Amino acid sequence: MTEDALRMALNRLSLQQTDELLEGFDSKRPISAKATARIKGRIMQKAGFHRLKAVYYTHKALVLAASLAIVLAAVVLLNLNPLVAAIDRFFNFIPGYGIQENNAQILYALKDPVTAESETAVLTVTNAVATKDGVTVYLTLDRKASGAGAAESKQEKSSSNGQPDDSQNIRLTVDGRQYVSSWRLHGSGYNEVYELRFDVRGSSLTGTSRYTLAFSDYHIHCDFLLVPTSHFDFLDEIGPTQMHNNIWLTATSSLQDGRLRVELYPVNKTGYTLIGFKNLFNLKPYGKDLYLQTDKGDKSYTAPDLFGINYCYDFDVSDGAQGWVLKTPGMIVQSNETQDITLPIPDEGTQKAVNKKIRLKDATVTITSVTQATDNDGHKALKINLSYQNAHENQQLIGVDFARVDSNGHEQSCGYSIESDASQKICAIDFDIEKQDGHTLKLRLDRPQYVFTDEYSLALNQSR
Amino acid sequence: MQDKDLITLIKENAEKGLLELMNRYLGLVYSVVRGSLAGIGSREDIEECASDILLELYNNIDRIDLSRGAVKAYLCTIAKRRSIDRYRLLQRQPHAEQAEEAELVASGPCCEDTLIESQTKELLVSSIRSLRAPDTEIFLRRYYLRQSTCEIAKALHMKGNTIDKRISRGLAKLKTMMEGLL
Repeated sequence: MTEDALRMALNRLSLQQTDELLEGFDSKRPISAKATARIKGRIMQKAGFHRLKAVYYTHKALVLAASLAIVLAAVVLLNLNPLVAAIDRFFNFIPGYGIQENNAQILYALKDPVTAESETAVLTVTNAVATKDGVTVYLTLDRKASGAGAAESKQEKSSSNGQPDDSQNIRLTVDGRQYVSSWRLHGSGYNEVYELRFDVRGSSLTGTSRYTLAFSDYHIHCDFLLVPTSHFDFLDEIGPTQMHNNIWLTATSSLQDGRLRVELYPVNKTGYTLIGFKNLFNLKPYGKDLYLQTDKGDKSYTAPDLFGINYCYDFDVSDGAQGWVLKTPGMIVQSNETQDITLPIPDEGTQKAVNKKIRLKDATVTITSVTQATDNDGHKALKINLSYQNAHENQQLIGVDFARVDSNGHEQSCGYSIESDASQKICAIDFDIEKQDGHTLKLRLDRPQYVFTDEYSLALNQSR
Repeated sequence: MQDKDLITLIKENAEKGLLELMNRYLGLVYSVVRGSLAGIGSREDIEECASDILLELYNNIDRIDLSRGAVKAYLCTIAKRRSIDRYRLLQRQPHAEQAEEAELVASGPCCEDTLIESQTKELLVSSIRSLRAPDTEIFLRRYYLRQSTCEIAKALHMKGNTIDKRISRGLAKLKTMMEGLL
């Protein structure tokens, strides 16, 4: 059988055969934000819907994901004592951008989104923030059909790798001084989506500074204002907040046309890396997912995003449902702990009790036994049976990664498969054995992942 | 949200339903199209084809029968066929690049089913499904989505040569299971 014959046969499967082939296969596939924006815009336009909408969602999600990543990274970098049980700092809250602590650099944020229009394009500044040294502007540019041809060629010449090769055409004026962008992220399609950064070191931004963004290619400019960021003493002044295990979760919500949009902002002081808090990885098998509790029953969400961390959720409350309470099933975190171990390789077909305990900060992994097995093709594998002992009832270890290491401690290529139990915890690993392994296998255990099982319950403000 | 809920949403609130359809399946459709048009289609071709496929399902939502297959199966079946249509179209264009698989794909995806009988394909599908994890997914990615070793290795957190080794072993197993039918 050739690979070509295999490909051709799979090209020609019937619906039922395709269904059987794809059963259980995770249909989520990564796709770039730019391609997503372009294709969504194209589909919405062909379907006769307002074409800005899909791009708007994507851009908002991009901004949100990026800002949350910044917040999470900042929190990790703080490396605070995980036992800190209270937050008594000031917070800067920038709606649509994120929460930062009082040592954050952002001083000003966009007062309101603004739109300007010329004969060739519509420019909307959707968000902007400023530090003392730089201004970052997020915008959409909607080209009009009459000017699309000329504009297209210019846009296609530009790169999206952050190098502003058309930077002279895009200028920010602050209090009469002009700046070209020092960095740029750009997605193109029916709409252009830009993140532009301007280095304004040496200038003196104030709360009354005036900003003008101009695209000379489109003969368009947009004036906007940045205002000092909102300061809060406590997170619950921003929105309903709950804390478990030194992870705070704050929600904001807005209601429009029967759609309740909820944005979540985590502040993580655990020392672990926050992975997610909805149905990522292992929570769904527990039968849990994020939902909205209302007086008319529980409602599931739609997420206006395809990629990255997704902390923005829409709920349909057009039936007049009230008494909104957002419920999240828990948090998944990952540790950077790592340990090297050496395991015996027993004789073929035999099992050897090991009972090797690997102590982590908040749990213990026990390698109960190992077995050498041979599959039908004669390939040998070491089956490593695992069990976990958790130090805390509400913090469950759900899996660890393994890598083969050589005698110098360098990671090597390896093949293994995973067996999970009914709750999706990894209970055994089959590691391919190579000829040079002899009687032992040296492995590195790393990236243990935990789930904090405490539910977050956030009563949303009805008046928002 | 289950497939039946998605279909209901599309019927009751077309715009919201279409957005949800895209949120769920755009990446999958894009992967199938990109794999099929690799080497001959431009970015524009791939994105145009992917958008047409999602629209085709959206416009035929009343004809979806979930007892015959899940939404992703419908989308992938449409995606394979439309990609091959597009492939043929591109081949006829003067400056289209000749890809290695031109002859293979152009030989016809759906119209010469006498060559590969339905039973053979059923056996192939069940054979792939019977491979030991994660080999089923590796095969699906390599031969259905046409991902490279590097892409598969990255997605499955495995080394590239491990992927190649598993493919080699899996092909040998499939050959035995298919008993020379392919």
